[in-house]
Amino acid sequence: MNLRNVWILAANSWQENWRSRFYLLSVAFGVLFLYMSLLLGLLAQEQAVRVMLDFGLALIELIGLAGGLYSAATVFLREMETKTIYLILTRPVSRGEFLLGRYLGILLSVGASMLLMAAMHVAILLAKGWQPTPLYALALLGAFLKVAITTALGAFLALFSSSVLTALGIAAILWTLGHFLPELRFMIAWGSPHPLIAPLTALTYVVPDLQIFNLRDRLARTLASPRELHLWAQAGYAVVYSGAWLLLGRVWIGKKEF
Amino acid sequence: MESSYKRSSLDGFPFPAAFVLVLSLCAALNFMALQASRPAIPPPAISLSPDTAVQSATLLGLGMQRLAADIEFIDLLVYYGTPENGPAGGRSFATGAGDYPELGPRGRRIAELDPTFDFAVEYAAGALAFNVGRPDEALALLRFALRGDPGNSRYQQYLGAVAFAQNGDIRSVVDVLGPLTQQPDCPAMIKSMVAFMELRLGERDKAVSLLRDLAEHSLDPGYKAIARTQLERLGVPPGR
Repeated sequence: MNLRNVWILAANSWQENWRSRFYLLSVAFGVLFLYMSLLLGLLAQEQAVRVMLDFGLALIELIGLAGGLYSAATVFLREMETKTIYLILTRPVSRGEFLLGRYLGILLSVGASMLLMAAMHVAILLAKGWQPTPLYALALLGAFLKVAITTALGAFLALFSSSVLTALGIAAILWTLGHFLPELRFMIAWGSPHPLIAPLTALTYVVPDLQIFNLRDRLARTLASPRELHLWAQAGYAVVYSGAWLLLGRVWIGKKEF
Repeated sequence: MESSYKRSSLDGFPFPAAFVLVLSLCAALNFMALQASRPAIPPPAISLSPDTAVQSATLLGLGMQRLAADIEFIDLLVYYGTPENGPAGGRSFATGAGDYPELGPRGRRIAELDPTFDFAVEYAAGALAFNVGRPDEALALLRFALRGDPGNSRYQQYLGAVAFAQNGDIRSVVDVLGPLTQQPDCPAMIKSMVAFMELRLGERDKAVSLLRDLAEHSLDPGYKAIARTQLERLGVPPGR
């Protein structure tokens, strides 16, 4: 794999995205958050900062997810429909490089967008008297890793189904299931024998365990050091899981004639 | 005509085999991550309210456990901040007294969603024990929250304070809660309650200090107003 090709495609993808919806979405977030924070601050009274912190992190994650998933579901299909993929693949660029380059471009755009939103969020929190903590950055990283995994799944689903709606719908379901895995496991362990238990059990092993990246829900826990959060293990999980589905996407487009 | 596309060994790899390999890899990853996932909120322990069940479940499904607890807390504030006897208010609304039967269950729901949200638990337990006169419910709530966050020493201190209050030992209540009122995230309601207890014990200076802190810094407009009124009664300038 030629990493230079991957980087050129990623940078090109990032530039295209940044000129369009990502920037606008981030600005829209800032304005929306300013408005919502005023309302929530009034309602939560003494806990205004906590509520604004949680609300902002949740919104950053959701907007990042929306941007990443939408891009993954549309970029590849659009390039196939508009035949621009021919222009790229007739050059010395492999399909794997194309897929990885575009995916990393989406992640760059999402990451930059999330950082911009976080900057606005932090500015508002500081103005409200928030005491900064490095756990904020970890919470943001956890959200980004979740988005990266779901974006990879979205890319595979779009390539496999050739349908934006199907890809978006299934990825959204997987996102929700990924957060309910502990409850699913509990139900399986305590539920009565049922023919659905076996497929449900299998599902719990395939759906990404997004709860492990939910570092923002552990913000208040006493942590001696970030080492206790097993950050490297989490990053490894995200890279391997995303890589596996991208690789499957690569095998799938290997069957297609462009 | 031969294709000019850059080929790789993956082009000939059978998709079903690749699919099985990827699923196996995911299963291995999830198995290794089992310990790192959060513990389940066991269904028998969930006491969802009909009003907020969908909202809480949706937020949990989106992975927003803390935010779900925050919204339950805002609901609790609205509930406890609304007069029970219509818009005109009950005779004792200003002091937080009344029945408020949902206070305990609402506090418990918050502790289920986020056991580390000590402010909300202390707020609900404080209201139960010192305002609406149901210390048993307050103790049950604090014990429940302590099970979710066993290392939380503040819950233990509150447990002690409520137990002393049950026995009418105001001095001990103030001794236990006094240090907590110096912490920045102590609920205004607790500060106000301790200030009034200090007055009953004849500790005017300590009471004035707490009331001044409330009047100047509290983000709760209700307790801010109560503190100002009390300071005026005591003949002390309420400050800013």
